[in-house]
Formats: sequence, C-alpha cells, structure tokens
Amino acid sequence: MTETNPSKHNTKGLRLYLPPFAPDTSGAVSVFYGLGGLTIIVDAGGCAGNICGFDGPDRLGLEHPELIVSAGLRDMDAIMGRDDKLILKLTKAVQQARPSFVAIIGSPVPSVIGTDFQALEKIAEKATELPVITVEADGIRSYDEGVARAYYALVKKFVKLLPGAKERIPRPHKLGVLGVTQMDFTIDERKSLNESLLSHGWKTVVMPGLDTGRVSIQELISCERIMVPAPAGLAAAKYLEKKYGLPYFTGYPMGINHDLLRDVQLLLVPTTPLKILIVQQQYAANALRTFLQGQLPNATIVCGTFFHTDPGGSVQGDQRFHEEAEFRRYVMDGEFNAIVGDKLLKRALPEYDGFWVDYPHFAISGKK
Amino acid sequence: MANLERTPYSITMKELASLGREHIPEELRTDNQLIYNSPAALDFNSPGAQGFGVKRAGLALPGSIMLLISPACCGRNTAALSSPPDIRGEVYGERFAYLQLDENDIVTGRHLSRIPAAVEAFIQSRPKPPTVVLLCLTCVDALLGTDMERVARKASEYCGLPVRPCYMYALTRDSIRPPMVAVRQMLYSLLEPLPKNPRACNILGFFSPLSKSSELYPLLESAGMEQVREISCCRNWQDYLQMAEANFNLVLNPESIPAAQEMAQQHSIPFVELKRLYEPDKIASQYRGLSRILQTDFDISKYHHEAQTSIEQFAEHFGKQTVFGVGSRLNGNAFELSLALVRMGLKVSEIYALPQPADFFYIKSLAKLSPETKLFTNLSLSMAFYREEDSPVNFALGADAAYYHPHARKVLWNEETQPFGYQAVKEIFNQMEAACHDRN
Repeated sequence: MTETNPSKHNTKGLRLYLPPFAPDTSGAVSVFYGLGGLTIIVDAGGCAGNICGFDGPDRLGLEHPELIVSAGLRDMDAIMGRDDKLILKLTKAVQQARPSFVAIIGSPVPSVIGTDFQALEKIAEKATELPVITVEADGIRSYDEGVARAYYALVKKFVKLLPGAKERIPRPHKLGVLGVTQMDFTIDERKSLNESLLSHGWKTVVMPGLDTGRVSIQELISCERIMVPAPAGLAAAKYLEKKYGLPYFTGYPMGINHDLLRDVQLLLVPTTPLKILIVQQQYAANALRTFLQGQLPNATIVCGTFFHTDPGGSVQGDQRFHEEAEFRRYVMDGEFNAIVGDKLLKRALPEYDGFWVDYPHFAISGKK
Repeated sequence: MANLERTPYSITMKELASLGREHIPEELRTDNQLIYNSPAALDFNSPGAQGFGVKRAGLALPGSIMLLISPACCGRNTAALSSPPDIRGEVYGERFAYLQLDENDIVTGRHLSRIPAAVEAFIQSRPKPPTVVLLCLTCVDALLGTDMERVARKASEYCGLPVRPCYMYALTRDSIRPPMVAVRQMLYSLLEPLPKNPRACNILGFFSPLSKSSELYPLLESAGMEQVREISCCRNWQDYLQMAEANFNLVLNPESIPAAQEMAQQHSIPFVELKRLYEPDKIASQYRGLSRILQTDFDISKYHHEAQTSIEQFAEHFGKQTVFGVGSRLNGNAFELSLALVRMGLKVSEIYALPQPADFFYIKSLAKLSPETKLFTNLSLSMAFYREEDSPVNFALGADAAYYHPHARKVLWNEETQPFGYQAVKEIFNQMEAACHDRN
C-alpha cells in the first residue's frame, strides 16, 4: 500500500469526515411545507425516508400534517419507465387528499432513466385537473439548487396578473420574502425576521411557507418589493423582476439570530490581529462580516460557503468550497484564529486548534 | 389547505379474513398506491431513517468501515449517526466515508475508477486499520448494472484488505433478495471454515443484542451450549470468525433465513427457526420443539409462570378499562401480538400494519375472536386524516400507534435491544402496567 496523507488526497467527491449536506431533493420539498399541496417524491422510498426522516417537516409544528408521498418505484417501474402507473397512483391520491396543487420532485432514479418531467407535468395536470409543479431534482446537487428551482416553478405557475389587468398594481408597504426555508432559517429566526420587517415600516409581509397556503405565492404579485435573505430565493425574485417589473433586494438582518449575537461577543476581545473565517449561506455570512468588521476594523474576515453564491454579493477573497479536501487545505493553510460555522464542520479539521463559534446551519448538520 | 374531512381507510378482521390471503385489498398493497411518509411510516420507506437500515447493519461487522458510493441524498441521514460508542467502543459516525457522485459519474461510470484510491485514503485517515471495508451502493448503481463484486476485488487488491459490496438497492425491496436480506447474507460471508464445536451455537436475525435477561440463554446453557454468539456481541474480528465453529444457528428473524441457508451450505451449520411470540402457550410449544431437536429437556416452568403472572396482574388491574391500538413499529408481529392480547381477554380495537400472506394465520383467528378489530395501514395517504378523537383506543403499543394516539398511555416497545420469549412477554406487560400506573 502506498503512503497517503488523507488531507492531500485528490479523489473527486471523497469525503472522509463530513456526511453529505442537504441535497436538492430535501431543499425542493422544504419549499412546499405549509402550502397545502401534495408532494410526491419520485423515488423508491429511501430518498423520501431521508427527506422526511432527517430533513423533514416534523419539527416545524405545522397545524396540518404535510402530505408527502413516495412513488414507491420498484426495479421494473424504473426499467420499463412506467409513468402511466405513477399517474394512476397520483390520481387516486388526489381523490383521497384533495390538495390545492401537486408538486412532483425528482430523485436519482428518474434522473438516471431520463424521466421527462415537462411531459409528466402536463399529463398529471390533465389527469388530476389540478395545477402541477415539477422540480427536476436529482439528489446530487445541493439543497439551495432544489430550493431555487422549487421557488422558481412556484412563482412561474401561480404568480399572475389580476384578470383583465395589463400591469401589476403594487400595494405600498407590502413586502414579499423569498428564500426562507428550514434549510437556512429556524422557526424563531423566521418569526424574528417577520417582526423585524414589520418594525422597520413594512405594513404587510408575505413570507410563503408554514401554513400560509398557496395563496401566499399568488399574493407576491401585489408586493411593493421582494426581499431575498438567502441566495436560494434569488432565481424566483429575478424571474418576478423580469416578468412583472417587481423589484427585489438581497440581505440578511443580523438581529434575527439572538444566539449568534451573544456567541460572537467572544470574538470582540482585542487580542492579536484576528483572521476570521465565516462559513454559512452567503447572505448570512456577509451580514455577520459587516457586523464584525464594524467592531473589529483590523480583523481580516473571509466568508466561505459550500453552496451557491450570488456574484453580486461576493468580495475578493470569498470562497466557494466544492470538496471537503479543498476546505481542509484552505483552513489549514489560512492560519485562521477563529472560525464561525456549523460545528459539524469541525469533524473535517481535527488538526485545527483555533477558536470556534458555532453557527448552526440546518442544511449542513440537520441541527439548529 | 388540503381538505381534512376525509376518513382513513380501514378494514375489519372479519372482512379481511373473508377476502383471504389471495385477495388482499388494493389499499393494503404497496405496488399500486403512493406511499405516505408520515413519521409512522418512516421505517417502511427507509429502514435506516430510524433503527437499522443497510448502512448500520453492515457495520455490525466488528472493526468494519463503510464507503458510501452514491449521490449526496442517499447518505444524508448518516449525519444523525453520531451516537455514543457501542459495546466495542466504535462510533458509527466515524466509520463512514462518502464518495459522492456527480452527473458525469452517473453518465460515464467514471466513479468506479476512483474507488480503489478512495478506499485507500479512507483507510489511511482512520487511527487504526479496519478489518474490512464495505462499499455501500445505491439505486444508481442498481440501474447502471455495475459489477460491484469485481470493483470490490480490485479495491481489495489495491489496499490489501478485504473489501465487500453492500447493496442498498431500495428499488429491489420487493424482489426475492431485498436489501435487508442481502445485507444479512453479506454479514456472514466473510466467515472461514472452522472445526465444529458441539458446544457452540449462533443467534442470527438482529443487528443489536438480544436482551440479556431472555431465558433463551439459560435454556441453551442447560442444553450444554457454552458459546452462544451474536454478531452484535462479537467484540473483535476473532470473535466474529469463531461463529464458523457453531454446531447450529438459531434464526430469530425470517430475513436471516437465506444467510442461514448459505451457512448451512458453506460451513455445514444447520439452522432452526424460532419466532418471536407473545402467547405463553405458543412459546412453550416452540421451546418443546427446540428441546426435541437438541435432544434435551428444557425446564421452562419458572419462566412460563413469571410471564403468566405479569399478564394476570395487568389484566386484573387494567384489563377492563384498556383498549389497545397495536402498531407494527415494534419488536414483534402486530397481528400475532394482537391475537395474543385478545386471547388473554384484552380488547384490541385497532391494528396499524401491512398484512402479508403469512399473517393470515393470525388474521383468521382474530376474525373469530375479535371480528370488529380494525386494520389501518400506515402507508395509506388517507392516514393523514386519522383523528385520535374518533378512536376508542386508550393504550398505544408501538411507535406508530403512539404517533396516532399522542394522548393515550403508551409503550413504544421498539428498543434496539431485542426482547425474546417469555422475557418479552413479562417485560412488555410490566412496561404496560407501569405506563398505566404513571398515568393514574
């Protein structure tokens, strides 16, 4: 056997320490929580088990149970591509549950057999006489891509001008928020965000999810602006801007995370020049950097993320990590005194002996 | 919002028995309906979401480590496997590594060429060398038709340690070799022939230990067995290899029968199947059968009496007022357990389970003794509309029953340590009695 240093391996896709982060399947499904639809995961059962068992909605305390089902694909379904059987099952389920819409979410199996989701959407709409949304998730990509695709599909399907109207009529002081899912926000953070926006002059805040129903998506059309507090909401906001001239802005109010504000106080003690790495979704990391930089003007603060970034929100030196080994090398070579990030990431850095402030990210550890 | 006025599907024992095992209603079959993903159904969809799935099961091999080769979504729930060290001092979370596939890998199969290097880096990254490296494959490789035996051989030659594939093919769960059967076969496939020891036997079926207070151990000891081995109790690789010296295997879970058959072929170890039962008389009959095979005479009177006493005590204190809902997410067969309770004079109003043809043996008896007992299935979407207030159940047995009846007394009975025999009867009734006392 040849000598190998695990921190220097170059095997693509290999993670020696970190379990997988939330995939696009979980991200997509999380967008539909509380919207009153029936969500179908086109899988054999294992993906649905992961989505509902680990990344699931149980901890959200929703008023009604989420209607999430697995297609229960078997080997011959996959080999023969029996979409007609899926449609029959779906029709029965719709008769039982009477949802207000149907969301069909992909998984690795339909990705491998090349399921035509656009065709599936049309056939399912005809069979069920309900609006159907499809999200071509494949379980390979990260959660934020699933969230982005699901929001995009939702607004495309449900945001319409009022009948007879030639342009939208915005209501003053009404704000829409896109991108708030349990992957990036706790229930408390969601509530704090809502309260914070109301206290800053917005009279109505439309934040789809958590028992708001499908109508909350339709209501976005009358908002004055859209706020995007996580990059996963950006694609849908850009669509609304292009299609309806609905402006958006990005940003994450630091004040909504009370635990973090308390924990980062530990970094505010003047010592040797600090070099800090913040690992989170991009907008949350940026907000923390702005806050810390104000308190520690001499500190070098770098933001990094394992997820998609908005080029407009990056500054020079910000990092997008694709591989565990790349993250390890960057941290170990970077001589950081402090890291602010989900503590699960520490598993990948057994040699790191600097300061660590836990900044939980559900999409990473499944903990908040 | 979805309309919540719908009613959940159910069928009485009488109706189900009259249809027979050949005509199980569509609503109770998994092949023609979408499968609901409530917390009550989680075990069905993904055995690994709670309890033992293929990933945890494979790691029952002492000193093993596992490389999960899959899209990210298949390994997501392993983040939860950071439980305290097991009896060997091993922590599940530290025994996994992941080779995450991307679109190119799936189209080209290029990931296969990276496996030997990944295995080697995995071995190097751990403080001590593993006994075996398991390669866990998922639906993607099932569809690609990857020859993982060959890939594992290549990786083994490259790193100089045994490497074995482990198939987590959810797509094949209705096949003749579903994943939980295949992983049990894999677990014993590394045994090497040993001379027979007439005083040794193995217990097959579970990935966690049998309850140490089960009478099975003293009974086997009374039959001259000095070594009773279970894979979850093997402290190291040597312990595991000694399983090949067994004179016979006791199979306590039917999913282990193919593994036992292979051991019979390869190591000349015959096997006897025992069922986990909750009726004391049936347990006695089973032990009488086993004692005849072992040509001995088991003294079960003490255990029988203790179990019977626990039943009678519960029946006397709480029997009249208790109405059971019996689930399938527990250590037992929901139909057998329900029949046992009914035969003890207790009332079972609802069962939450998916009937298999073999269950009709119990269903027919339930139809005679408790014809109006209703069967619900956790997998039906209609269970989203189950309302606790419409049910007479006031005692939930099983994690799924407890999910439907959050306000009832409950015993989950789904601990990882496996109850068996009279000990299981005694313990479940003691726990039920305690639950009733606590509530009172």
